[in-house]
Amino acid sequence: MVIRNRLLFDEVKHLPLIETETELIKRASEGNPEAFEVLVQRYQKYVYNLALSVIGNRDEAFDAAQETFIRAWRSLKDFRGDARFSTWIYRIAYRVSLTVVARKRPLPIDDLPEPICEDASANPEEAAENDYRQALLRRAIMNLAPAYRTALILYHLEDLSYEEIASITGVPIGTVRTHLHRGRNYLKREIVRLSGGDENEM
Amino acid sequence: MKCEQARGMMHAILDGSHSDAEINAYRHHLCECEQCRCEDQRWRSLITEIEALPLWKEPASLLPAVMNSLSTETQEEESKIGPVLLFGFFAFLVYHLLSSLKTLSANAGGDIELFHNPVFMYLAWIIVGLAFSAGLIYFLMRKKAHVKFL
Repeated sequence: MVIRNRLLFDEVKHLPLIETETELIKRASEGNPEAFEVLVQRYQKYVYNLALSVIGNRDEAFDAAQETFIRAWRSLKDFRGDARFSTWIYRIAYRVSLTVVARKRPLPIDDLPEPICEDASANPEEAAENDYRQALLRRAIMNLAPAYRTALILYHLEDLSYEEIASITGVPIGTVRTHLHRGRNYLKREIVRLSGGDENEM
Repeated sequence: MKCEQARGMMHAILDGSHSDAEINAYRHHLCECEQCRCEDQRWRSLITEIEALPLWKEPASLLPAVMNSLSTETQEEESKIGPVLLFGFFAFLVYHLLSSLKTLSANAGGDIELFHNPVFMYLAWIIVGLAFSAGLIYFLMRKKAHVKFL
């Protein structure tokens, strides 16, 4: 199996863990904004990425992420800890994002977000090639149907399990698996289409 | 294992959702079939590439925007308590005014029939009691858990 090294809480580990997440949630649900602020800090990146994956537009993803946290704040007292907090907040983000998608026009290709290059390679040619591949891959992902795109991003980029994705999106695990497998197949074809190459050369 | 079978289970194998026996059979087939081995390799490369994609960085203004919205919302909630307390205070004043009028009327030897009406007095007490209870409950619950019921 391919090693998936981007764990959801990798970056969380680097934040000052003065309190456990359970304590933070408890304090936030009692109306403590400072505790909630720490939770927002921890999850904003993942919530924003999920919204961006579903919506495909930065400004709307920003609004959706903001709306997600406001809704989470309002309903924190209903969070019973049956699921992980991350799953719970992802579920809110997914619903908010779907609402945004439902009321917007189809996404024109020019509105697609540009990739963010985090590591500048020492070799400019390599870096350019890497940037090109990443841009191509992102564009191909964004061209997928939302259900396939979401399954793919949640599984591969946000490192969630089939079960967690099913819980977030509200579909059976078998459907998540199908979305993921079909999504990969379509992605492969889309990359070939965008690059004008041969499928067997990928 | 035939190529069709191997291709059919390729995605599940890549996700690690097959038994050891099936994985072994799959591996055995790959050793024998170059085409399937290449296909397997292509999928693994693609998945590695997807997983190497960096997540988008959230805008720096997201956290302040969220906390600002919460602050505004809290202020709006707090502003609702004012009218409730004011209404309670007003009801209290009305009750005392009526009581004073009744006393004054009795001292002056006069008589206001309304104050002898037990239904009126009963209703007056109910209104005053409800107004105060609502104000008090709202205040206590809001302090406890940001409950909005007004």
